[in-house]
Amino acid sequence: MIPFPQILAIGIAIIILYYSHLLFKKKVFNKFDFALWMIIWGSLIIISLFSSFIASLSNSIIFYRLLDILLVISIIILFSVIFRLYKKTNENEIKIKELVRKITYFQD
Amino acid sequence: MEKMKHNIGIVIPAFNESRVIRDVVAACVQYGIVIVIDDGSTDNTFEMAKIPGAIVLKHPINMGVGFATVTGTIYAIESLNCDIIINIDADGQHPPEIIPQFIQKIEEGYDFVFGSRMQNNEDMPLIKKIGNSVITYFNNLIFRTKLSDTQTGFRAFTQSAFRQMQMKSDGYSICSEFACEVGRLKLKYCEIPIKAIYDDWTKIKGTNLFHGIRIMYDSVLIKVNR
Repeated sequence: MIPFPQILAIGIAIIILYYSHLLFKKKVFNKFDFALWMIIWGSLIIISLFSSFIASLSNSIIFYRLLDILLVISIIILFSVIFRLYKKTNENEIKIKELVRKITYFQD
Repeated sequence: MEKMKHNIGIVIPAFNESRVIRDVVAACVQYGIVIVIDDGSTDNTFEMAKIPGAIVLKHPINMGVGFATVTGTIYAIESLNCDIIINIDADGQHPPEIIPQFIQKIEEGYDFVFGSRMQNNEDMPLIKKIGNSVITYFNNLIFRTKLSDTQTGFRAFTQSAFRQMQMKSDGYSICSEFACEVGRLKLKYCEIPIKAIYDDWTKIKGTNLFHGIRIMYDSVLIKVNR
């Protein structure tokens, strides 16, 4: 039985991975951006799925204490916020470039 | 003479170059249509570039030398139908009298001609020699080119070559991106030795160590994203 925080982490990771794929198809993300977020969120899925295995490797128990759960949830939220900001920044950069070129050529 | 045979566009990206831009444009107009892209300058670069007869476009904000170069090149191709594009720095570092040599190489069948400062570089400051050599070696390694100076801003290329390229860099990394595209598209290229002029002004306007690190980092991203 996978504990709830791990299910939550896997769910969010899958949603954001799918969203990254859509942004990559729309060319908001380039190959590097897409690969970066695949690695970050993919790693989270792997850690969540095989936490007991990883825990045995590191001799520590992941998600054992309440504080650990809070910490993991906080990290998920932070990564989600960073992801959203990163996406917005890329979108805005593309829009600014288009706008500057339009203004420049329009002046002529 | 070259103006008769080809429609040549000389694209000059400029940012706060009012001190020298007039002389640079005046020295270039005899070789083709000069297009100056004022990259959001806060001085009177725009007005000074117009005096000798350049077409001057102005970015509303500063976007970087790479972005300005592409703005000017697209304009030269789409609005003026230039078949040969020359890029030259606005700071007066490059001698415009060599432009006919670039055109001659294009006429010989080359798609892309790089002006190399490293083949005639006794005046180049030591730190720039080292920096250029390191970046060029790294670029040649990852882009599979054999160039002596990938960081030159003095270059010529055909309209058809540019149409195949995916130019996305905004800043100084555009030099590496051109090298990358030449290697990726397997374009026919060559180099011409140029004697760059290093005075107080060109030294101020050039790249520094931090730009160099950024260019190396961007080169990796450029390669990954192709």
